[in-house]
Amino acid sequence: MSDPANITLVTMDGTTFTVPSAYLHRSKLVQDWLRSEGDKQAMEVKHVTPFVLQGVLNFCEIHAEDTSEPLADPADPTKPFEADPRDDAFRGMPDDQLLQFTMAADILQIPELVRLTAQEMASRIDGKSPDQIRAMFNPDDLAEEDVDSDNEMGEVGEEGAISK
Amino acid sequence: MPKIGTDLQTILEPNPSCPRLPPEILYHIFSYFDLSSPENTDGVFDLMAASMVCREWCEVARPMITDEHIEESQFMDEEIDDKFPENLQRFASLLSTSKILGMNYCTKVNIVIIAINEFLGSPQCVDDARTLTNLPTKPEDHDALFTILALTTPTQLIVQIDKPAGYAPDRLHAREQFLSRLAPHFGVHALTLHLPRDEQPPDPQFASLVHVARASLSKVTLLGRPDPMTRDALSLCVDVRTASIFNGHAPTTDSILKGWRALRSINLLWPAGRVVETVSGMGDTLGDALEDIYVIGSPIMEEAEAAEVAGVLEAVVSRCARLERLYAGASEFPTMSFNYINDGVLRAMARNCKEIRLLDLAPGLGLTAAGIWDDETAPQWPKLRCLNVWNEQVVPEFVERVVLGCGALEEVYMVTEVSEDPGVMRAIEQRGFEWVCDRLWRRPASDSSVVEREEARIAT
Repeated sequence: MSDPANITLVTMDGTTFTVPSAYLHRSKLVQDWLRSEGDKQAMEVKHVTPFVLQGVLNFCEIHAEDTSEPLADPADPTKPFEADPRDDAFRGMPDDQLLQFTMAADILQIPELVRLTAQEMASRIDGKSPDQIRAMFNPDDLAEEDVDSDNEMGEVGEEGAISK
Repeated sequence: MPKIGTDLQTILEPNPSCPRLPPEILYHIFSYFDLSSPENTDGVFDLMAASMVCREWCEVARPMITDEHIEESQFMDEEIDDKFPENLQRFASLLSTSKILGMNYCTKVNIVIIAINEFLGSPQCVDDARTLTNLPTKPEDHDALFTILALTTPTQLIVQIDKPAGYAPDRLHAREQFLSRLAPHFGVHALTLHLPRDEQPPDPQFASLVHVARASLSKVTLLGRPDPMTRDALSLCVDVRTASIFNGHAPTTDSILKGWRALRSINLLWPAGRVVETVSGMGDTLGDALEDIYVIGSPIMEEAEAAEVAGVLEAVVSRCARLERLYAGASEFPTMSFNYINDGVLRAMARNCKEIRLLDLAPGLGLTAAGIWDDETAPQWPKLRCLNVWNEQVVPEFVERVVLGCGALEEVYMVTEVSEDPGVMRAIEQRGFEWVCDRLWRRPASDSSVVEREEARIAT
């Protein structure tokens, strides 16, 4: 049985991240997993790289104590998107990383992060040609960029645990 | 960049190493592009661009764009602003790419505006900087314009014509080249010409463009005064069905109208001048096929001018048995200004116009409708569907007779003086009209405004 106050996530390459469960209260995937399989040691997050999961967890940590009602749907028209200065780092990330964060947000089902990254992707597409958009979100470059970016954002420990 | 000849199937093959966003996320991203207003061209262009990125994006983005989004995109039919060249080039590029990819995008656009002076650039402008008089002057701007014209079918061209008199030889040569490139695209159905207001010497270059449109032109709007050669070319466009002329030059207008014998609808707007000068020849020049006449003059019409216009209208109405709508006047000072539609015109309509669908009795002196509908001269208006009585002097008996006698009537608007008449109200109740709002009555069977439907029909 794992510690109910913390949750361990395992990325596609086996790197583990142990964080307070409260960080992930906006992730529908994690909440469902905790309800159904919370007695297991760790939750596998396939298709997500350590670097990207690190970033997602940073987002979750920043917003862990937000009191706003969790979004049921990122496209909810009754709750218009409002830029949050705490998310500036996410808005400033390179195009290929933004694409991966968008995917990770969708996999982990975090509507607030989906909305943030989707809005940012839309603003970057704004005014671009199809060629430029292809160059921005070139899928072939993603793997290499991942490796390099892991080192840049650092802070992933031996087991990838976030130090609080 | 995809190569010409490669089809969408091969260009947009999914890349197996591509981290694919699920369709619902793509839809969420694309929904940030604002398509709610035709004025927001960027949203349409962004979505078009996204649809050409890869197959997955295409499958989500393409259905989000309707033909109307592209047709009604307004960047090309508004006044040219500093974003015009950028939009011009972007739209041309997107159309070219979509053509290469074989994407089935709408090729119809509503209006393309071509300001000759701005495409040539101001003669005073010596550097490359874009200014308000020197916007789409670069070769790539010209190429973009002609790409759009080649890849689309504009429903209307709006051409702002310059004054070539006095141009230096090199500028005159540039103009000639520009107009000759334009010629293959001038076979349009609708043409709006913004012309200089003062007299111009013959302009054979532009006149030759109008000759290109001769076989196709059916709708013309003129603002200003054509040069003699353009005037002659216009008068040869014998298939023109709809014409609008604003503040024209009376003899020139008269000369053009003589050639348009197939005209069905004419709008004459002379807000700043004496409309009589233009309509004075209309009695002879206008053909018998007219279905719709709309004449607006200055806000105050003196008795003599109004009588002269009314005389012309009476002659035209007496001849045009197919007339469906006549609107003239709209005086802002009904107690001191005369109406172009007087009792004589109305009587002529009663005798000759069995196709009338919309009867507008505008404010102004000289129109009472007294004696128009008596037992001997009852109008035959079997198709009359809408009666608008804006004129306080119209006798209630006429309205009462129309309401009772015109079986197709669906909508009646009356000024207070008329609507308070007991006889009129009895007729309204007897025919089953119901009060809608203000002073408007409608028969329950009519589910939408007759005026709206009539406007739509006339526009069509």
